[in-house]
Amino acid sequence: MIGALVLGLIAIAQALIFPASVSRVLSAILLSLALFFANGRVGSLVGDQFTQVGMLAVLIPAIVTLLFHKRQQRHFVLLVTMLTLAGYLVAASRNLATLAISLESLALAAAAVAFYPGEREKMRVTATYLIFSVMAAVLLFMGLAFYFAGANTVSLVQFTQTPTAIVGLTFLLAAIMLKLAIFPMHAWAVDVYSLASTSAAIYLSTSVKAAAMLALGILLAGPLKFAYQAGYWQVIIPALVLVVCSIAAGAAGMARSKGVKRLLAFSSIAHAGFLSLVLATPGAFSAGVIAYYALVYSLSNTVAFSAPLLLKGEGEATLEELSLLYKRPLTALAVAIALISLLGLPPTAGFNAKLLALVSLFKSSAIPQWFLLATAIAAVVFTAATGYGYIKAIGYLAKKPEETPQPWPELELLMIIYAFMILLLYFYPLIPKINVF
Amino acid sequence: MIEAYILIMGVATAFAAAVLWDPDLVRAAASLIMVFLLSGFALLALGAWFIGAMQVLLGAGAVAIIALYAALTSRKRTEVLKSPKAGSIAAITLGILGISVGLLTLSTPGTFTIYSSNAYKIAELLFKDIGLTVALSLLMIVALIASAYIVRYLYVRGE
Amino acid sequence: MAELGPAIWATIPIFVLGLYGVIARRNLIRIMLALEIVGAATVTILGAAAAANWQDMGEVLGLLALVAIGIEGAFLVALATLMNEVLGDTDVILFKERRRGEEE
Repeated sequence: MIGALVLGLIAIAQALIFPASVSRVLSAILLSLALFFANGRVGSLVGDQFTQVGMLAVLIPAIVTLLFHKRQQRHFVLLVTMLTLAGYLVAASRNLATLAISLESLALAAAAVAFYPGEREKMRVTATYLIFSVMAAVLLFMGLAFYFAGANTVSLVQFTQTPTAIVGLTFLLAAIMLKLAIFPMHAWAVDVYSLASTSAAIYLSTSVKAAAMLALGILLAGPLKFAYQAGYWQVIIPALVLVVCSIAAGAAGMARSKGVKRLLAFSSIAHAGFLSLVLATPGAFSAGVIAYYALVYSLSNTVAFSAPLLLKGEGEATLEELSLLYKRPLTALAVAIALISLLGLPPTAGFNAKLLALVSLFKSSAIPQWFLLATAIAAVVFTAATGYGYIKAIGYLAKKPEETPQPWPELELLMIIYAFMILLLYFYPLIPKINVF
Repeated sequence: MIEAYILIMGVATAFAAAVLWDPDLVRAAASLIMVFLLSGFALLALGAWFIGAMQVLLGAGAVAIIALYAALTSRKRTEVLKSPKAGSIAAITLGILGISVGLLTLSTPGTFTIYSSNAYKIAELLFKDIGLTVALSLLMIVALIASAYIVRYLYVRGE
Repeated sequence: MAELGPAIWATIPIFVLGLYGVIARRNLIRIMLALEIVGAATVTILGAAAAANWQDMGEVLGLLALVAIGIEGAFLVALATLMNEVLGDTDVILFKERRRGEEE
C-alpha cells in the first residue's frame, strides 16, 4: 500500500511543478500505476481485493477527466489528482477516523472541482455542492462522536452494543446517504451534475459517488454488520423505504429530462438507490457487491457522460444531439452498451450488478420476507420505469442526423475500451473480498 | 466536576442561540468565539485539558477569527432574519430528533474520575497510524488548493 | 452512576441549534457560523467521552473533527468572499433566484 501512497504523492508533486499539458498525462499514468501497488497494509490503510476494485472504480472517470478536459488549468489537474488520491484512501481505509477524514477531503476537493473552469455561472454549482457537503460533514462527525462515545473505539470490528453507538451509526449512515443523494436529499445532485462543466460532472457523478458507495461498503462490512447481528435491524427499514423512493424519484426525473447530463444525473440517483438495497444484509458479501456495482456503474456512467463531452465540449447536449453519433458507429455502439448497462439488461455487466444487489437483499434473515419482497418488486418496477429514459436516448443514437460531429479519436478509443470492459465484466463477475479487523 | 461542565455548557447554549438569532453578523461571530471558549473551558473542567486547549487555540483562536473576518468584510453586516418557508417544520423535526437522541444517549456508560490528558499518548495515536497521517495531510493540501482555486477567479476574471 | 450520558445531553441543544442554522439560514457566513457550532458540540462530546472512559483516542478524534470542520468553514468563507466581491451579497437563495430570473 505504501507504494500506492508514494505514487499518489508524486502525482500531486508533479502536478505542482509541470504545466497542465504535461502533468495531466503524468498524473493519469502515475495514478494508474498506483493500482498495481495497492496491496499489504499501512496503519489503517489496507490493500485487499475490495480496495483494488474500488480504486479502479475511482480511477476510470479520473482518466477521462484528466486527459480530456477542454480548458487546461494547472489547479484543476492538481485538484483532480488529489481527489483521486482521496478516493483511493476512502477505498483503503479500515477505520472510521481515516474514513471520515478521507471523505472530508473528497467532499472539499469535489466542491472546488465543481467550479471548473472558473466562471460566474459555476459559483452556484459550488455553493449548492458545498452546502450539502457541509450537512454531510456535520452528520458524519456527529455520528463519529456518538459512535465513539458509545463504542469507545473507531475500529470497524470492536463493536460495543450500546444505544449511543447505534445513534452514531445512524448518523454515519445518514451522512453517506446524503453523499449518495438518496431521497429526499437528491435535488442537489441534479443541480450539480447537470449545471457543472461536463468534464467536472463526469468526475463528480462517477468517481465521488463511487467513493461514497465504497464508504457505505466499508460501514456494511464493519459496524453495521455487528449492529445487525445484535438485533438492531430496525434501523435499516426506513433506509430501505427511502432507497425505493429515490429509485422512483430518479425514474420520474429521467422521463421528464431533455438534456443528456440531466438524464444521467437522475440516473445516478436511481443507481444510488438500487445499490443501497444491499443495506438489507450487511456483511462482507454485500460490501463485495457494492465494490462490483461501483466498478460497473463507474464504467457505464463514464462512457455515457463522455457522449456530451464528445459532442458539445463542456456544455449540455440535448437528447436529439445524440443522433450526431450515428456517423461514428463504433462510438455510438459504446454509448448504447453503456446505456443498456445502466438500465441493467444482459449481456452487460449492469445486469449482474443489479442481480447481485437483489441476491444480497434476499439474503437477509432478520427483516420480514414480505417487506423484502415488496421492496424488491418496487425497486424492479421503478428500474423498469427508468428504462423509458435510456431507451429514448438509445433511440436517438439510431437516428440519421444532418450534420457530422467533430471526430475525437483518443476519447472515442477510450470509450470503446471501457464499453468492451462492460461486456467483459458480464462474463467475469467478481465479488472482491474485504478484510476488516 | 460534571456540575461545572453542565453549567458552562448551558451558558454556551445561550451564546449558540445568539449566533443564530443576532441580526448583526459581527456580534454573531463574536458569540461563536464565546461558544468555543466556553466549551473549551467545559472540557478543562473534565480534565481533558489537551482537547480543551485545542478548542480554545484552534476553535476560538483560528476558526472563529476567520468567521469574524468574513463577517467584518461582508458587505451586508446586518441581516434581516426571515424565517424560511419550511422553518417551523424543520424546527419541530430537529426538536424531536434532539429529544430522541437525548433519550437514547442518556444511559451511555462512563463515569468521570480524575482524568488528565496524556499528550504523549495522543501524539502516539495521531502519528503511529500512517494511513491517518496521510489522509490528514491530504486534507490540509486539499483545503489550501481548493480555496486558492475558488478565490483565484477574482484575479483571472478578465481572461 | 453513568455520567457520560448527562454530559452528552448537555451538548445536544447546541448541536440541534447548529443543525437548524445550517438548514434554515440563507446567508453563507451564517451557515458557516452554524457549522462551527456543531463542530464545537462534536469536539465537546468526543472530549467528554475521552475523559469518561480514559480513551485518548477521543481527544485525537476531537482534534481531527475540529480541524476538518474548521477547514470546511474556511472553504465556506473563501466562497463567501468570492460571492461578496462578485455579487455583493452572500445570500444563497437570493443568488439562485436571481440566476433563475436571468435565465428567463
